[in-house]
Amino acid sequence: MALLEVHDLCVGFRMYRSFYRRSLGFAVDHLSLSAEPGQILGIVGASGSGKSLLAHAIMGLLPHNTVVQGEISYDGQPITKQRLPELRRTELALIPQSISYLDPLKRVRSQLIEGRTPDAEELEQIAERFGFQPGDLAKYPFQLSGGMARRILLATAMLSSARLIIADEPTPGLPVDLARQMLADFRSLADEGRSVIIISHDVDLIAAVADRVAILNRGRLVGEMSSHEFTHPDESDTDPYAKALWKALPQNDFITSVSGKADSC
Amino acid sequence: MSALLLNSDPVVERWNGHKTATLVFALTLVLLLTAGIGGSLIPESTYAVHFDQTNLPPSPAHPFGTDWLGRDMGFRALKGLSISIRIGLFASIVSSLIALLMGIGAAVLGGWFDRFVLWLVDLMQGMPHLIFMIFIAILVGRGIPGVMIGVAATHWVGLCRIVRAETIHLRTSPYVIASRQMGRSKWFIATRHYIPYIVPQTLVATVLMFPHAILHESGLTFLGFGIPMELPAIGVILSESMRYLSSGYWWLAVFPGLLLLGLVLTIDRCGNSLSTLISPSTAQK
Amino acid sequence: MTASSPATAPEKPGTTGSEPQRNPLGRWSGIASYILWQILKCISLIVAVSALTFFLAKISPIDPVAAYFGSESQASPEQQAALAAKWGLDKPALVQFGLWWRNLLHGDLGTSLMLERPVVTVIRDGLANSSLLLFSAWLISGVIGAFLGVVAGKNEGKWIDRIISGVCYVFAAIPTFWFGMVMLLLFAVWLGWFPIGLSVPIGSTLGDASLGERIHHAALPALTLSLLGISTITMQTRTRLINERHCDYALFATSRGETPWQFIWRHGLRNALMPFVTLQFGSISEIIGGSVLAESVFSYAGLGAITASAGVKGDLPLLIGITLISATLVFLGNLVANLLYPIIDPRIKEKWS
Repeated sequence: MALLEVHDLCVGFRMYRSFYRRSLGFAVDHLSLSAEPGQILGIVGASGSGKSLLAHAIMGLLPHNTVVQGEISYDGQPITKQRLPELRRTELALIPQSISYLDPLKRVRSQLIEGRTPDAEELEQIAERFGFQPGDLAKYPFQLSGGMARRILLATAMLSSARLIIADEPTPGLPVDLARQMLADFRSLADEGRSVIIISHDVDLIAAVADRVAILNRGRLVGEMSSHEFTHPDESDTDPYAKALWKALPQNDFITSVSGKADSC
Repeated sequence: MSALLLNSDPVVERWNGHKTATLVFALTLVLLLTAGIGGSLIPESTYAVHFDQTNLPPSPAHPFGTDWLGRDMGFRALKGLSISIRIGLFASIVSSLIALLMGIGAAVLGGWFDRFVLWLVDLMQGMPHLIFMIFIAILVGRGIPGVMIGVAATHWVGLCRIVRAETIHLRTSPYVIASRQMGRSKWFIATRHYIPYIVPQTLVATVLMFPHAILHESGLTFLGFGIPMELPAIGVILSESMRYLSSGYWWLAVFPGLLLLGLVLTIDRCGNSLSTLISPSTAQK
Repeated sequence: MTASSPATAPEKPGTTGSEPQRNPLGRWSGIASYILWQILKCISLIVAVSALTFFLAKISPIDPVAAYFGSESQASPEQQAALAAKWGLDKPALVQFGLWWRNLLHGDLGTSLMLERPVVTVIRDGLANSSLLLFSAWLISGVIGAFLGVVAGKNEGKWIDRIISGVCYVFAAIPTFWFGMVMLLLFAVWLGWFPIGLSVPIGSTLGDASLGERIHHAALPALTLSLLGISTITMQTRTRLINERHCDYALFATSRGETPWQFIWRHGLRNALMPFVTLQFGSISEIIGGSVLAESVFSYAGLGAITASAGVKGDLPLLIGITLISATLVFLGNLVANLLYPIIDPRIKEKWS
């Protein structure tokens, strides 16, 4: 049974169209997908396609001038305002994009586990497990290098009890080997039985590690398929946009124009 | 979080932030103009001396009561309000002009002038305003010129910092650099790029500076350094009413002060609504 | 004195705008050089203020000799010239400045015209009298301001926030002296809970009055003085807390299940501490300035009242001295704030070296 089910999600914003009139603009339009335990779901799409909004909508982190319609269920039950705090503490985890998501005035070691600072022994184990030097965990966020920062953010999710982990753009700025390492960590997370959603526009990296791939374009779900179907578009009857997306990669055909229905709204 | 927006049905709402702001701005502006201009038109006969009507508490004939010379407090206070408005306005405008000159000059000329302006700004921010104003007022010789110079000399600092920072930011922004490299004259850049950016902020800052100026002016007048005692400025009225406080003639102090408070709040609302309408950061509320 | 918008409240006193702080004592780095630099800055500002006041006094149309003798005196031209020579008024301005500074370092700021005592003594006594008032107003505005600011910030949009914000908005627009008069009317004249004025009971001197009596007399003026400070600090703290709630790290904290109060307690307060420190030490300036008005209303015998009479009587030496000393106090306050910053925010130490 799917751990997470999103059904007909719409996310809109009230914005000023002219000086005196506002209107609703929808950035996510009737989106439906699901995530299974033990699986990695990759969500790919261009900037502005609504990927981060989807992640925030699932976690209930949207700003307050948004209009949300549709249903999101976790473990068979709809996610309500009452359930959210408990779910966030124990079941859901977000791996954010950058180190700016940590409190800049607190040392890293007190931000690893929600609500408490691990004692010296635990810190040693954590350092060993994630490949940190002993002194690293006593640093402040701004003192971390890019790769260390990413591993800290990953650690926060892995140390939690969350069964659903959403990673928002985990790979930008990382050298390829570190990125592959990180994705391998995601794989091991999934193998533990957790469900992992990776949002990214690093299409090839994601396709390599994900079980299923969902493609978003302008807030709409263009296609959802197994990663094999995505990486071998000619063998299957997939959406033209999805095909073109894969083929646009430099190592593939590097065609950057899209033919077909993907441009129409 | 950049979102490409899809369909957009107009949201039907009777009220939103922009509409409210426009209404508030219009109302407050009308109020201020009435008070300023109308107040100056009030003839002196309305608050003439009547020795048979001294120290009367508020009544239908005299809603604000009368003072120890039998003068109607309402008209006196309204007259005083318009004096404050005019003096405050003048001082704020002068202050803003100084700030613009210093700020833009510092940003554009750079070098020693910039350092000088920064030094001056650091200095002025440390000084307690009132004490420095008293100092300047005394140096200039008190009275209305003293107050105006004192207020103008202390209030330019905040705006100057902002103008300088904004101008520096503008000079290094891509479109200005591109403009310069395309060969546009300095005049063109100044009028087409700098001014449209800085003017709205300056306008808002001036409007918000206005109540400070009025409050400081009435403070100075209250202490005896500002507007001379013959004029019915609010500070003068309040200073005179001090003598009668212990006798319990509360209307001599409460109403003029309330009028002043009302004036300050009105100008504040005016400035805030103007800011909402003009500055893009608050434009989406 | 209306609430200044966030754009005009300085992030750090003593700096102008958004330039990053870099270490001008490049060769020596670390916290010691930071402290040294801040102290040097403070001293240079004090010297600068003295230069400014001196310069302004020099270009003013007031003739110090004529002012000293007053308009009714019958001093002969020779006597006036002698005094001018004694004060060094015939020497070039820079020399005069140097002479003035030499006197300053010996603790001599001249003699007050109206009180005929050394300026330094007058200011010292005045400060001693006002210290209770100034300090309690400073404390009250800080404590209450912080508390109300946190409550309002946490409950953004709800009725408690609207009430607090509305009240502060109005309070910031109230003229200090008028508020003092209203307090006087209400609590002293009508209710009789507090004395109608003065700093000590009639008939006793400062030394005789007990602490309780002094507090009793200082209560209303202190409340009046703290008014503006409370509204400013409340509003700025509230704004800062709300901004912190919109920061990235707040999003992450919420995603981990932190409740709003937990967020405030664990993260929000510390991140809002810096601007609070700036504000709190910056409020020294407004409190000193406001004390002139407050003490005048309540006939409280302190430095503020002396400043007011010095102004009325045109006592230039005393005024210059008061301007200098009060500016120095403000700069010292800023120095303390600047020294506190690296303790609160470790990034400052990092940027410095």
